[in-house]
Amino acid sequence: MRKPLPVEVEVVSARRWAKIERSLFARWDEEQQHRVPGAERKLVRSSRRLMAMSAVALVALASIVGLVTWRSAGEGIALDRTSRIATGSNGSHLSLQGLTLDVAPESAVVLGSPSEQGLLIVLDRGKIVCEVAPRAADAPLIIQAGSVQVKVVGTRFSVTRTGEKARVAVEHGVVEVAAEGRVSRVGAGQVWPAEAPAVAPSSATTTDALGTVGEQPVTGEQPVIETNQKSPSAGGANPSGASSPRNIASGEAAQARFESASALERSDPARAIELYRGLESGSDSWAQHALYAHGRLEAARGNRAQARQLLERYLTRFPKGPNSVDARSVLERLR
Amino acid sequence: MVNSPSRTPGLLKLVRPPDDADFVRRCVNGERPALRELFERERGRLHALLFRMVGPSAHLDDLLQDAFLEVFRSIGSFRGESSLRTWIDRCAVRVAYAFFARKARVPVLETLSDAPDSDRNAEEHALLREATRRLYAELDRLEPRQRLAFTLFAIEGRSMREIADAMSSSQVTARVRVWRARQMLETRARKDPLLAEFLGDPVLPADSKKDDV
Repeated sequence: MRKPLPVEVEVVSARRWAKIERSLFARWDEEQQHRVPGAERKLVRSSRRLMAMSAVALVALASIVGLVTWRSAGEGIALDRTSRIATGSNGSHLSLQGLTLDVAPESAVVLGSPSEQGLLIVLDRGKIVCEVAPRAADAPLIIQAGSVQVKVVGTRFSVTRTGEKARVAVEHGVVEVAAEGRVSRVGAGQVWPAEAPAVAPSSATTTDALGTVGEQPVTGEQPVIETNQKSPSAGGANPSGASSPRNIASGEAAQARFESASALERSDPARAIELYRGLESGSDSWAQHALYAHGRLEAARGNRAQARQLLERYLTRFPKGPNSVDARSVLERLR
Repeated sequence: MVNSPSRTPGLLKLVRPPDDADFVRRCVNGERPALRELFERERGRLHALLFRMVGPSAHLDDLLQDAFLEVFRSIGSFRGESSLRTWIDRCAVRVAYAFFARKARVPVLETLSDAPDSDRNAEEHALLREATRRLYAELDRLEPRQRLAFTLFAIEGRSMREIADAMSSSQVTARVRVWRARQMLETRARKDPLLAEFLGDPVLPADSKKDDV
């Protein structure tokens, strides 16, 4: 009798099931709202045909008499219903009327239908960068990331979601961030929530994959907006360290390097090791992933002494790191 | 060999839970309690099926939702010719195939979540995780249909008949896909002892035809 390969299926927590169920039925309800009942479908189809023909006639007429004034709104597309965008290893760029949206890799967003009350974008996971043309104050763009709501009337900014937490970085303009019943205004060059100073290697576990701080201050105080503008004389030096847009970008670069290294492990291990080494010296989460991966790779290549050294260093620096259990197991095996 | 339900379509109708028809009707009518019950009933099984096909992935929750949405949308077309579960599996396979076809590649870095403590010791567990990671890294290189057929056969433990049914193909096509995937993995495994050990003995010897009936 053939025996299936022993792939262990991950365990789904009750909380995760609840979240899946909530999202599923929210999507289902949204679909149902836009669904046209079968009996009406035929009627709607012929009405649409009629409307399309009328529209063509109108446009032709307007062109002839020269009454059409084209108000340029870029090459955007219009949303007439809710859309969901989930990116894989590549990001996505979207241009809507008055809004450009860059969806980072491994992210998911739901775009609502624009209405008189404004436009709602729900960030399910990952990161988006939005550039919003000035909008009417009573029809703002609202971005929901977990329990955090960002309201904007015209600016460029990014929102990063990590679990139920979110981070907002504003490049220009002003946005309003509402969370836990408090509203904060975040201006150009500022980030929300306020972040701790540059992290020491031992506390790097609080930094997420994009180089943003995953934990808000736990003092329970009103989030403080931290000015993050670059000093013209300091050559971009930033006292708040990991929180600047430059450091977000460097976090993304670190992630890209780590992914390249991981992909190269089999085909070009020397290059993979070189990339891991470059990342290890950092203090972000990619440093700890790189240190562990380097140790694991050396173990796989039979370089036991080096592997031991690297994994011990990993456990010293990140005793409670995400790979600490595995690191200990590999070390045991190497002894 | 003892007669199995899969050999006698008539028997299928007898073993199918009698409340299926009424339950399906309630789902088709969009009754929320019925849809929730369907979700509760099938979520674990469908999640395991998708996990085995896709591997550890940040997209898994989305895919599970997509699969259920596909089920909710199409349940009106369920004619009862197969069991409800088989029909649901077909929806899941379609969703997984669409995922691979979109080339939304599973990130190599994704790690398996911590499984509950079992009687395996930590070292075995770490090795198993590593082997699984390598297996899915190799599966990422396969053509989507080969990957689906292989995972259904070698990981889900489905028979060729079930795979052909789930993938709407002939059994011969299903067997060829599994065989090609296996060939490719074995070639890779020659350079990777851990993967070779994980894959074990060839699962498609000549006598595998007995699975096909």
